[in-house]
Amino acid sequence: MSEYILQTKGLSKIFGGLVALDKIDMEIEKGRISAIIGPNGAGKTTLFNLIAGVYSATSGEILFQGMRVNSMPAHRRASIGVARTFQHALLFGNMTVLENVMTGQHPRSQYGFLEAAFRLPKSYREERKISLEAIKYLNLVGLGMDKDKEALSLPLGRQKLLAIARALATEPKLLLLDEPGAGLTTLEKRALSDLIRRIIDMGITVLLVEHDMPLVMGLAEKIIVLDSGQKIAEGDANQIQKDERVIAVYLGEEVEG
Amino acid sequence: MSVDQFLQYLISGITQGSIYALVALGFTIIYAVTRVINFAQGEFVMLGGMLSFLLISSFGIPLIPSLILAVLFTAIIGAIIYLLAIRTAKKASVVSLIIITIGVSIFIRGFTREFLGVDSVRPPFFTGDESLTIFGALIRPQALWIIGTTIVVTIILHLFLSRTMMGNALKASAISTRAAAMVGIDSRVMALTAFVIAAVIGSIGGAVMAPLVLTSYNVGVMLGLKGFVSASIGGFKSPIISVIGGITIGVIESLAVGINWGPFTSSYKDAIAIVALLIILLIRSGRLALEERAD
Repeated sequence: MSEYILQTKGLSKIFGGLVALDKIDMEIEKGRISAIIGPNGAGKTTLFNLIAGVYSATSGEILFQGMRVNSMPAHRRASIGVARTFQHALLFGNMTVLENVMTGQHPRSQYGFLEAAFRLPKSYREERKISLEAIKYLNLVGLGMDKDKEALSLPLGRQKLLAIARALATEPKLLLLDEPGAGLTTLEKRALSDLIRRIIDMGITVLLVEHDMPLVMGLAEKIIVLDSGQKIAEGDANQIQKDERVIAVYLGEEVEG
Repeated sequence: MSVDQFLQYLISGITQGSIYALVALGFTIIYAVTRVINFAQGEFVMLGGMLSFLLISSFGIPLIPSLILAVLFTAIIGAIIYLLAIRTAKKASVVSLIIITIGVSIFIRGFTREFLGVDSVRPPFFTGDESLTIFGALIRPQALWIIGTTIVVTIILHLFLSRTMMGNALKASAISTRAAAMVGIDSRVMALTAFVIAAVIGSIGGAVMAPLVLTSYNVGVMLGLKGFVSASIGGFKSPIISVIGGITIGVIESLAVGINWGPFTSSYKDAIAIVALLIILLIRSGRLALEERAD
């Protein structure tokens, strides 16, 4: 098995005539926090979608734990250990906080359809066991008290924590966080950093896309910078902050913005 | 109308409405998971009744095994419809899929007519036909079977959706297929499950109603329509509201026949559901089919 949990080789995605990602080579080390940054439209979310299986790659390879997963559908990737959250939490509305996390246990629960239909008592016991497991993840992200509330009634910051709890419930090896800090208060961001460190301590590799520079610089051991679909730099926080191409891209963006 | 009479029409309305409710449940569950309105839903009811008659009367198989086989066979038909007609057309729009289900229903009806004929048939009553008297109103045992079955099916479906992981996954897939995929739920498996559940519920309804109201190859057309109207009362969203919708339509129809005045006569009975549909469509003004998934 490779020391990298995730590798991409010459990964490209073309939408119509638009090159969203151009031959991206990257390696994500196991058990570390890595981050992908870049201006809007750089291809960060597209890269996430390719890794999670929402889109399929135009060319190139995605290796998860050394295994080629290019043509594997999203739900299969989730069950072998790739979990992700979305920029907009994408929770299941009409469901409680607890039920949302319980869906995350889907790949780990053993039941057949006939079993669920004809052996309700057994399914019911299974469901109880899973709900106890789900409460564990809710406590981890600090939502234990909110378990019976409707998911969409939570404030945005807590909805994002709930999405992380749901992703953790799939018992992932690699957790992809899409802009976890967006829309959070300074205090919430600090709590988020602590949570991400605790996730690493659980042996899960974290890869995040984030706009908040202080958050990324404080957390990520490896930073990959994308611009217009190309990788323009990678390294630790110090190297990235000194990189001339990165500075040019970000200063350019500031002048525009 | 005397109190006795009113009670009599009420009971007959609840009985008829229970059948509509079971059809409506099928519409609701398939719509929730796939956004397809399955116009072959009435055919599941027809198959349940026709097959149980065939097995009992032509093959001489006892009642309970016949019922189980009829439901099992219809469940397989439900799975085949999904796998052959819906899943293979995966790139098609929802409207095309709905039209496909209309085609499937015509096919099933034609096939049944060819092999089982055009006559109305009546399988034997489950437990005789000795009417009971409740507050001066007569109630036939088969009517109790119909009402009881609807209650039991509704409760089991509710427990299945709210208390099992499979039910949880179905609901998750209904809310957002994309988010569901991210937690490892295969939306195609969920769609297949929905078709099977709808076929099971529909055929159970068809099998319990057939001894009381007879059945024939084309009984699914009108029942499908009534079930569709019942499900649209709740916007195809809530199983419970679909059941209440079905019973409401049944009771209104029955009472209208009882009033027997002006437009409220038995000859206009079937028009009531159509008028109800027009009213629902006016109130909901197109929101019904145009609602998008969360993603």
